[in-house]
Amino acid sequence: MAKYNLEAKYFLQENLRKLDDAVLDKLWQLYAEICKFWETVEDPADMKADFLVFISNRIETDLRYLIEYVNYAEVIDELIKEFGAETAFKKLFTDTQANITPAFTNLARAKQLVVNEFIALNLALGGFRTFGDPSVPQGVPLNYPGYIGGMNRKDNIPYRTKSK
Amino acid sequence: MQTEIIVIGSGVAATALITKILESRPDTTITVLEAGGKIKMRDFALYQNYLISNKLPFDHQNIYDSCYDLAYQDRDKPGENAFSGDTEIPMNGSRAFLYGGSTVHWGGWAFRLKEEDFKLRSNLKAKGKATGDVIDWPISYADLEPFYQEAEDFIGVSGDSEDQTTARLGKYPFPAFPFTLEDGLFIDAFNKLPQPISYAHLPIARYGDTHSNNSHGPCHTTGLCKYCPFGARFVAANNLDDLVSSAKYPNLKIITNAIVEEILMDTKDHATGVRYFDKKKNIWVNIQGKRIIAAAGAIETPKLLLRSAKNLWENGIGNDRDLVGRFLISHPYFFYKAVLPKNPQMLQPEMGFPTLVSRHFDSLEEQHKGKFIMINPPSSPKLNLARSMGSGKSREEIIKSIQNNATVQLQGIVEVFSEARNRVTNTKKTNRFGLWETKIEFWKSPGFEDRMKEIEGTVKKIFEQMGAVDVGIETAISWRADHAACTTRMSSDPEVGVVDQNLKIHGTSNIYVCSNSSFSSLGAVNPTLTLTALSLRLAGHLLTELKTEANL
Repeated sequence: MAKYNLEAKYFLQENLRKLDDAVLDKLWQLYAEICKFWETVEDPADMKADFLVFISNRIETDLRYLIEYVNYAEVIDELIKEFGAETAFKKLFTDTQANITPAFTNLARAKQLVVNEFIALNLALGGFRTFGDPSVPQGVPLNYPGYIGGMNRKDNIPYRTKSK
Repeated sequence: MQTEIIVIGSGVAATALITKILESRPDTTITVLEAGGKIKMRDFALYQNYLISNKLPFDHQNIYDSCYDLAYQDRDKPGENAFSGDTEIPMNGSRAFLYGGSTVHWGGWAFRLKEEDFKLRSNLKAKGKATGDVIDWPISYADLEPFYQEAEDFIGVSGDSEDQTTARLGKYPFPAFPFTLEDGLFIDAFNKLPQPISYAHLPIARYGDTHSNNSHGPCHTTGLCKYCPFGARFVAANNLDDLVSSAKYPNLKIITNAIVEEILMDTKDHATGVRYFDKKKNIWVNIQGKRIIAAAGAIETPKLLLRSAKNLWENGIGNDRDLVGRFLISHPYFFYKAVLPKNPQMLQPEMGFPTLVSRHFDSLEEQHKGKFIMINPPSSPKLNLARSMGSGKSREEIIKSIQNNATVQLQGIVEVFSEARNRVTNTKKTNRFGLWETKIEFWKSPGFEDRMKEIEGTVKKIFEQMGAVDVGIETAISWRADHAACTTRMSSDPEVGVVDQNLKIHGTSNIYVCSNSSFSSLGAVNPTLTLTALSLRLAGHLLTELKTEANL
């Protein structure tokens, strides 16, 4: 049988699946800066394994993320060189030009496809907990779409409930 | 080899039916024919993509578009299907042509009908109201109760076993999800009204912490419930995968991309099989079967009957009295909103599904007007933390925004009654799946607008009690065909219904209809649990028949 009649399968070359360690370090630095800027998590070290799984899945799902992550690394290098680290991250987080549609600049791509996705990941991994009124235990809101909060058990309800 | 059972459609009805049959009789030869294809489920990478992008895996793969009907054609777009009448019933998004059927995209609400729902005609008559075209079910709530119980186990319902809204003999398999703190706003308002409104935990098909009969993970209340990486939300596709991968059922075959054209018959009462087009192989296939089960929903099932065996049934199978495809109803869905002037507790919907329902209105007293139920929806506008952070807002700005911005909503569904003039038929064109396009004719009943005014009055009172202002309609009523039903109604009298109490088509010996189309009436609740119960009941009936045959 001709090959074109077989089920289509796409095998990624192993060396294409891997990100350079330096890029990975820069991505993790970004994640930590998100925690710091919005005061979501004091020490994100416990989230690193989930973070790496996310990166891996992102590339597995869409190979183009290899390029997006490398692009981010180049963008942040340039920003740090120009403004210094603190201002560079603040610009990355707050510059409205970074959210332009379509995201045709390198900055916009870094912001929308990397930074904003890490923000959502950070919240889903528990970052949302510290938001809100500090007088409310565990912060507000207590549940967050995407948060894997535990089983449906009476002793483990990961959202605010009405008291009886 | 002749297949013992051919099932057309692979949704929850087919899945419950074949699971029960195979558990008792593992060698049964069953062929399931599904018009749609298959998509990947239970994949954590796809789930993470959904989490980040809010795009369902089916969107991501552009598959959802390919398994939905297009919108009706109009001046600016080609569209598909046809509509006539005064109230458009959109098909787009209401069903999915997929392995696993519409459960791939359903919300999981799993209500039972109530006792009075089975006696609609009798109750209207007793109240001196016009009965119109409505009928009673040929079975009672008590007849179906054991199968409701079985169905709740099968699809893994979490619910409040103490709730006596519907009489129940056993417990739900999983405890109810507690009311959210935000539900408390509504509960307090219900209680404060001069005539307090009752409420209950919404029963929902999400597996709890243990379930001995399935391989799916428990619900982790993630809040992104349209795609569950653990299979905790019941999706028939996952259960079908379990059946197919099990070595215990060697004679089960599920064929996707199989477009069933007609049911084949050798005499007027006896079917021999079906004819379908295999899209993968690009060939027509005739398959023989001893029993044919049409489980293709309330739109495709009557259409299949209408175009089959015209040499023996001039107007289509079971249609000598022009009943097939008629009496179409679905549930109009309403949306109301109001604004809370302040929100010190920073309440927001925190779940991906509702936990509070009010079925007070779903009562014998209101039955003659058309019942309705209401929920506190999880889709209420809420502050999207990720979006706020992504847009560059500071922590303080975000917190202030939550405290100053609170919109509350009430949504619900209303019962409408079947009328003969509302119907489903085939057009003369095929769609992109290769199925005959659908024509729907629908007119809403004259009293509907008045009923909605009554409902709006009730909603306003609730919002007023909450101290909410700017009460208004969020969206125009959705008449989408999500809960389409009653197009091959069940009745012991062939003069008014298409199938008998065992779901067998009147005048035939081996053709069954197992879909919402066989509901005699629809009540005011989502139909899936009742359909599952009917499927399990039919499975029991078929097992008895198969056993009798084996003993002969």
